[in-house]
Amino acid sequence: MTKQKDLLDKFYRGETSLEEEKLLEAIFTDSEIDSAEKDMFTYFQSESKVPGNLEESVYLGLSGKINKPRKFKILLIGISSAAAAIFFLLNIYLNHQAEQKAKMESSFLALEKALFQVSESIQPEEQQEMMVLWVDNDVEIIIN
Amino acid sequence: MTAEEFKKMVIPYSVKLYPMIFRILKSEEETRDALQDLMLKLWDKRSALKQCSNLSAYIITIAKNYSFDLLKKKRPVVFDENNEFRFINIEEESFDPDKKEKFEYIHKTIEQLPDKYKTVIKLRDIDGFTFEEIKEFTGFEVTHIRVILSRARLKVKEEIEKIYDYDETKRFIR
Repeated sequence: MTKQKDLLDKFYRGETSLEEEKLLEAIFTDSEIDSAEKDMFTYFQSESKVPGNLEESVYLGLSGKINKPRKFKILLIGISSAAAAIFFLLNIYLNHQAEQKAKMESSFLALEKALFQVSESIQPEEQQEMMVLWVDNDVEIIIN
Repeated sequence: MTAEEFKKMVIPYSVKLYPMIFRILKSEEETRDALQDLMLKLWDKRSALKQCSNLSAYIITIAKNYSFDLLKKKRPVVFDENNEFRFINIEEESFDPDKKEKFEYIHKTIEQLPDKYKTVIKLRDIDGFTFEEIKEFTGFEVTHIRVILSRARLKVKEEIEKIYDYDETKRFIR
C-alpha cells in the first residue's frame, strides 16, 4: 500500500518509468474503488486502444503499395528510356544525313568548279583571223 | 533494409503511432491509410534507416512532420449525432453513458491545458512514448518534460476531483 502510494507520488512528480506507469494503470483500472486515478488511467487506456490486426494490415497494405507502383515505375522508366534512345539515334542519323548531303553538295560544287576551270583551260584559243589558201588531202596552206 | 527487417523493425511503430494519428484524423480507416502512407515514406527511406544510429528518433521525426502535414490538410471535423462518440476513442454505442461523460470531461480537461502541457501528457500517458521520444517530438529537454508532465497530471487530477466526489479514505485499500 505504501509502495503504491510512493509510486503514485512518483507518478505525479513525472519520475515514473513506462513500466511503473503500466503497473499503476493495471492497479487502478482493475481497482473496484472509484478514484480520480482510476478514471484517469481508464481514460488513458481507452484512448490508447489500437485495432487488433493493425500491424498486419498496415504491412499488407504497404506490400500492395510497394509492389504495384514499382512495376509501374519500372515500366515507365523502360518506356521513357527506350523513347529517349530512339530519339537520340534518330537525331544522330538525321544529323548525319544532313551532314552527308551538305558534304556532297560542297564537293560537287568544288568538282564542278574544277571541271569548269579545266574545261576553260583546255578550250582552244579563239581563232584569229586567218586565210586558207589551199587545202587538199596532203597539204594545207594557211596564212595568219 | 530488406522487407523482412522493415517488417520487424519499422512496422511495429504503426501501433505506437496509431493513437496519435487517430487523434488528428478521428477515423479508424483514415488512420490506417495514413499509417500505410507514413510507412511507405519510411520504406522509401529504408537505405537511410539502415545506416541510422538512432532509428527511433529518425522515425519519430518523420512521423512528427507527417502529422503536422495531416494537421495542415485536415478538414474541420463536424460532430453530428452519429459520430459524436468518436470525439473520444470509444466505439461501442452501448458504452456506459456515465463513463462516456467522464471520459469526455477528462478529454476536455486535457484539451484546455496549455499547448505544451497537453502535448506532453498525451504523448506520455496515452501514447506511451519514452522521454527521449517526447524530446524528439517537442524539442524540450527531458528534465523540462518531466516538470511539464508532473504539472499536467496534477492539473488533470485536480480538475477531475473538482467534479467527481471520491472517498479519500478508501483510496489505497484494494
